Amino acid sequence: MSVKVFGDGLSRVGVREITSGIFWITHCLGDHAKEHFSDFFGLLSNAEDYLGNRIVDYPFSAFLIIDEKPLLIDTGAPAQRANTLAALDYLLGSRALDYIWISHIELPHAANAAAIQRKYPGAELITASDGDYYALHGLEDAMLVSAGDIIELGKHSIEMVDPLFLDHGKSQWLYERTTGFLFTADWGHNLHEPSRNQCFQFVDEMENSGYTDELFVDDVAVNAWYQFPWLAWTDPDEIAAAVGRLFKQYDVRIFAPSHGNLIRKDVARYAALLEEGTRKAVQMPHRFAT
Amino acid sequence: MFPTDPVYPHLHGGLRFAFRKALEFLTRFELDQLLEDATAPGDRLFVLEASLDWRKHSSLVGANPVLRKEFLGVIQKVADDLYQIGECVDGRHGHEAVRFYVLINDGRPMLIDCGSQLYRSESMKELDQVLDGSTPEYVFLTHSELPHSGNLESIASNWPHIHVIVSSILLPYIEIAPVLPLDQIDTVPPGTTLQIAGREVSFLDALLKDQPGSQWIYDPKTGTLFTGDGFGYYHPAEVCEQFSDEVEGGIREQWFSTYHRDAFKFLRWVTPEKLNEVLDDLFQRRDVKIVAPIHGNAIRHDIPEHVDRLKQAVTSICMQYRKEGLHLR
Repeated sequence: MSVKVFGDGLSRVGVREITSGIFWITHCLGDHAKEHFSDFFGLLSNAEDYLGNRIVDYPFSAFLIIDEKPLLIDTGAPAQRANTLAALDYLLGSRALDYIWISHIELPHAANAAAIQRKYPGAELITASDGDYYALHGLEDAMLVSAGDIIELGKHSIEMVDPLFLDHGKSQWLYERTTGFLFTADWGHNLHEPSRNQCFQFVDEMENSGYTDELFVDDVAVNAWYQFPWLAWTDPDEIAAAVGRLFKQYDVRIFAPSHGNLIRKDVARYAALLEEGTRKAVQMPHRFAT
Repeated sequence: MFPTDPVYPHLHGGLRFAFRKALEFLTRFELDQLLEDATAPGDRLFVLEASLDWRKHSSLVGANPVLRKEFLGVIQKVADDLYQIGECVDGRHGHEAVRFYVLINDGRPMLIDCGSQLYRSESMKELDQVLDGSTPEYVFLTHSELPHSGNLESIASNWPHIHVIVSSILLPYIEIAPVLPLDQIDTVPPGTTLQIAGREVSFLDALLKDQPGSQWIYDPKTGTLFTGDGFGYYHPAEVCEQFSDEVEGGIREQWFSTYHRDAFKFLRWVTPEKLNEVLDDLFQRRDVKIVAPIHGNAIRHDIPEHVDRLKQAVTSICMQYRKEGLHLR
């Protein structure tokens, strides 16, 4: 595993090549995970499964496609700004960055856009077209795109994807046609264990240190339960069917969520597990504190 | 410029009317100057209230586009010690309000959200006027997106000891801009009730939200439910400065509907009866007299009717999505 790490602790950023021309730029807490996730996972009835039996970690990722027109997928959070800029510098060298593609405007996804634009003044912001009032989110000059729109980067070609499971109204997913890379932002997260050296690993590598299908399904369910509490008001069959249709529509060879380690092997098997985990999230009890 | 005689706050009837009429002929600059000059206890608040009244009712504001633009940012007293601050932005669906709220709390003020990065200087100026020299102790963030927290840097810079309270589903180190020390940000699980600065405050699950780490906040003293993005509405320019009870017919179902369809696209999957049942549960459990959204003005009358309108709006959105077949894509 070849990973270049910038900084440490709360600001560290790792860079790893996924496939030719596509790079994973990711932050996770490593040894600091338990300290920062204790309140978060503490809400679960089985919190000990995430804070004791397993001490889990959760990545915050951006991706860079280097081509004739390089494109950055999301920007990382302010806490990792300096190291994200250093990672871009390391990957791009003297090259320009043509596009900064924003999945949605939460801080861990979009908050470094302005800083990156200052470093790469020619970079054009791309965001979802289905909305308004972009100035409120710092996106007033962005190129607006819709599901099905395509942008050619050279050898790579990105297609905007309807975000099936989303929180913010101005959201989008992305599919890269040459490599079969599907980016799903806040959906489809697995969790990794720093104590098993799983930081920056791909999921097939995590399997070598004890990561199982059962854990994957649980992780997908728990993360979806947190991320999309509205699932409590949906029909599990409709939700599961939507996952099935997604993987029929797109030939996914690399599955890349914002907050999970990457799946680059056996995607068909994991697609079935994603369907199972998301269905499970719908069925998890959710008592709203009113 | 303004006499500091403490009798002014107690003006009534004709004198008060005459004073307000006089204010109609002042420019924004002159009003600000008046506020600066009013140093005696109560004078600032009196001028502020008078100027609010002027902004809301003066035909000058309605008729003069320059003044109207100037006053899109408004301070309004909602009730008791609750004030609303913020601006409106224009867009294809009409105006979207971006508010935040201040509870004066006997000189220990609390903010609910803190405004967007847009019009930062105007928002800070309006906040200064409402605070009238007191130091805010807390910011309760409904969530951390820019329209809600974009002004946090200025707040933390002006009042470096301020504490922020967010939902425990939010990760402060990465979801809040690093503009104040992490040990000044506390997380609370949904369902927590605390005594804060001598006031009981409850932190609840946000039922309509566009960021997981969102919370709604209930202040039993004023009966106000701060609903973040929920209960937002796009509105015509004529009602920018009006509370629900000042809008003829109240907040329209259509205004709720247009906003909620834009903000909560997950409704394509939702069975509305299930969501509405949880909304009913909330409004049965809490004695809500005021609903205070960030993207709308406070709703301070006929709460059951407005909750029904919101539920109907949500139902219509879900049904429309099903008609469009979005749940089958």
